[in-house]
Amino acid sequence: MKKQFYLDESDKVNSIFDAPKEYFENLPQKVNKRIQQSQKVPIWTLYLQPKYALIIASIVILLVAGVTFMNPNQEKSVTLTSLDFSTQEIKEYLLQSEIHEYDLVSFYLANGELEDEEEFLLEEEILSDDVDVEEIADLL
Amino acid sequence: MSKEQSQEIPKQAQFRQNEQKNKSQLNQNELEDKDLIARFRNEESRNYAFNLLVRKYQERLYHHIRNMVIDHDDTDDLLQEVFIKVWKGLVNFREEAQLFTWLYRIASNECLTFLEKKKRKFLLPIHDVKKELAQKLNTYISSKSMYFSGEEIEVKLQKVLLTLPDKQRLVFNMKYFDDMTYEEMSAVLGTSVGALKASYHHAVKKIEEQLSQEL
Repeated sequence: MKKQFYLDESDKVNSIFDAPKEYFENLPQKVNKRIQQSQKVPIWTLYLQPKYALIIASIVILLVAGVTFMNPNQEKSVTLTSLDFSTQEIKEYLLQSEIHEYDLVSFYLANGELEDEEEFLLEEEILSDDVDVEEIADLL
Repeated sequence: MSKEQSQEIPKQAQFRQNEQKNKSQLNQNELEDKDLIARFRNEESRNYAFNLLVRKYQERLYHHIRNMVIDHDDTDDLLQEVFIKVWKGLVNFREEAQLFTWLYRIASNECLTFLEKKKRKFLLPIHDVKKELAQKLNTYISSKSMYFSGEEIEVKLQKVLLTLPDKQRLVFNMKYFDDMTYEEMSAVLGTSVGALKASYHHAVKKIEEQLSQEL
């Protein structure tokens, strides 16, 4: 017949495991060494850690978004200053482009730079490349 | 006064004496721990205090971990990890809990995470990890053949323990081998005293059943 075993009634059973010889004498030194090594990690490697990389990326996105959305007129003003052409330059550009004469005339009239159509046609002839020298002399 | 009563008095007196002794030991430990923490917070004495802390707790934590993971090399790795975590966290340690409770908590979590990782890493079902632990146990026993023949109750108990779920094994080890109270275990594991008592009771029942068949 098998004997019933009761843990509380029998003598205390000890754990069978033991550490190798001198293990506990050397462990504090081993731990200290590992701590010192972990403290020597260069600071820049912290930025590679996902936690810090995420924070940095968020800051950059916020800065870009801030600049873009907080100051939406900045692009416009830059464009306007960069287009600081003289009226004469604009006129020349318009004359050389393929815009219809009537559109140009109505533009000048609307801006009050022309009294009538004839004045425009006169200017157009002067600026045109194939204008005859004699014609210019007559005009002058 | 009856004979039984006269025997009861020295027993009670001895029990009270032991209780007082335990209390005074506990208070002394608490004082020492507080002193260690205070010294650790001072940068000048930090290394010295940490060294004392490692020397004070290394053996208890070693056996706590070793009973769970069986292998010495795994225990060594985990124990070093525990102390590194202690080094990093001790400055912010709130003294609401006892230091040794906090240390046990870190060590217990390391053990459970290690065993869990092992299961996931090799995509093995639970019994295969248990088999691996049993193999390591057998290797250790054969390396200690001068002390154990394999028929000793200590060896049989260790083999039976490996059949228990990890958390139940942890509870059993803390109560039986480390002599912790349920309140201390509750502080370590964050589980209610009632649940711990039930878990220990189930573990003991299983162990007794299996050992009764083998002895």
